Amino acid sequence: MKRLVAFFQTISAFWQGAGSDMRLLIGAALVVIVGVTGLTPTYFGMSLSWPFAAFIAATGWGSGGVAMRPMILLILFGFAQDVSMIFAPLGVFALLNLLVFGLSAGLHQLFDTERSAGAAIVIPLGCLFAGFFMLWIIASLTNGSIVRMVPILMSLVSTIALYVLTAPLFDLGRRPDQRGVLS
Amino acid sequence: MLRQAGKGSRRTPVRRYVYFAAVAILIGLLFLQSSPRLKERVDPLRTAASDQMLLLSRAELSDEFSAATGKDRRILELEAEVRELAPYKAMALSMAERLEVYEDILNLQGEPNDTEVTARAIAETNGPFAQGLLVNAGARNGIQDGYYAENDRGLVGRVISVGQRSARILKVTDFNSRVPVMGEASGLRAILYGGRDQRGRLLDRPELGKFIEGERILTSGEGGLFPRGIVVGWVVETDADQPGVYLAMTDGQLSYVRLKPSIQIAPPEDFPVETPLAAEDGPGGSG
Repeated sequence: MKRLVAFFQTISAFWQGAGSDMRLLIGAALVVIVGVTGLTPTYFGMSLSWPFAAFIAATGWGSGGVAMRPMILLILFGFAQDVSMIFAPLGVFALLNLLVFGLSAGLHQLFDTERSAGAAIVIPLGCLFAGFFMLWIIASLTNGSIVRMVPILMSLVSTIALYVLTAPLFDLGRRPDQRGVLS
Repeated sequence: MLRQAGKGSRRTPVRRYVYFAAVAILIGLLFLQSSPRLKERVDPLRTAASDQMLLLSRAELSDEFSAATGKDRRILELEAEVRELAPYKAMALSMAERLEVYEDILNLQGEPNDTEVTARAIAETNGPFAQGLLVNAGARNGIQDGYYAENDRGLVGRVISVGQRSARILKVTDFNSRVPVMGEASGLRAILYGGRDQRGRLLDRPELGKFIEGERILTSGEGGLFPRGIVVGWVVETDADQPGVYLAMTDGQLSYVRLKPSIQIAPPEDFPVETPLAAEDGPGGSG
C-alpha cells in the first residue's frame, strides 16, 4: 500500500513540476492513443460509442486561454479525424475542435473557475455538449437529413466519462490571463 | 462568478486574430467542398490516409490486447462447429454436382464468378456522418469500386472507394445506402436503406402487395450493384409506411468480410447483333 501511495506521489510530483510543453505533449499523446484505439473496436468484440478525445483536449487546453500550439494540434487532430474513418467533409472536425477550444477559452476568461466550483464543472460540460450539438447540426446539414442523435449522445456520455478521468492531464497549468506561455 | 477584468483581458494578442482567421478559413473550406470538383481532389487524400492507417493496425498488436483464453474458447467452438457441419458439406457437394447438371440441361446463365477476397476490417465507424468499414484489401488485391461485402450472415455493404492497399465499405445500415431487394416469399421488390434504429427500411415499392412478417429479404439484382439472392435480413415490421428489416449482418462478426465483384452485365448496345441483311443491304435495301 505504501508503495502504491509513493508511486502516486511520484506521479503527482512529476505532473506538478511538468511545464506547459510537457503537459501539452502528454495530452496530445493521450488524444492519439484514444483516437487510434477507437478506430479498432471490432478487435475487442464489442461495439462502443468511443469518446472524442480531441473535444476533451479542446476543453481542457482552452481553460488556459487561446494559445497557438494547442490550436495547431487541434487543427491537426481534426484533419486526422476527417480523413480517417469519419467520412466527414474535410475541415469539419478541425473547425469543431477550434470552436470548442474557443468557447472553453472564452468562458474560462469570463468566469472565475478557481473561486466557483460550479463554474468549474458546468463550463467543461457545456463546452462538450456544445461540441456534440454542433457536430449533430453539421452532420445533418452535410447529410441532407437529420442524422440519428443516439450515437452522438452515447459518444457525449463516454466523452464526459473520459473527461472526468483525464481532465487533469489536459490542464496546461496556466490561467487565461497569463501571457507568453505556448503563444 | 464573473472574472475581474485584468491586464490580460484588455490586451488583444495576435493569437486571437489567428484563432478567428483559422475558424474563418475552415468554414470557407467547408463551403468550398460543396463543389464536386474540389471534393474529387479531397478523395485521393482520404484514400492515401486509409492506406497509411494500415500501418497502425497490425494484427499482432490487437492480438496482444485480446485475451488468449477467449481465442482458445473460440477455437474449440469452431472445431465443434466444423464437426457438426461436415455431413452438410458432403451433402452440399453432392447437391452442387446435381445443380451443375441441371443448369447445363436448362442452359442457365449463372452469376459470373470473379475475383473474391477476404479482407480484415481494420477500422469501423458508426459516427454521425456515415457508417462504414475500412478493410485491408485494395486495388493490389483486385478490389474495384462497386465490389460488395458479405459476412457470415449476409450483406454488409458496398465498396465506395479503393486505395492501393485498402478500401472503404459503406454499410447497409447507413442512411445513404441504397440496396435493391425483394421478399423471398412475396416476391415484392423495394429499395432498402439504413434507418435510424439500426434496421433497414423498405421504400420505393413498385408493387402494391404487402411484405410478410418474418420473410427473408434478398437482393433483387436490379441495377447491377449486387447479384440476386444475397441474404440481407428479414422483415420485422410490416405495418409501418416503410416496413422494417432486421439486418442479418448485425448478428455476424465484422472483423473479416468477403469482398466480391458486383455483376457487370454489358448493355445490349455495347454488343449489337449484326444481322446479315442489315449489314449488306442497309435500311430499305430489302424493300
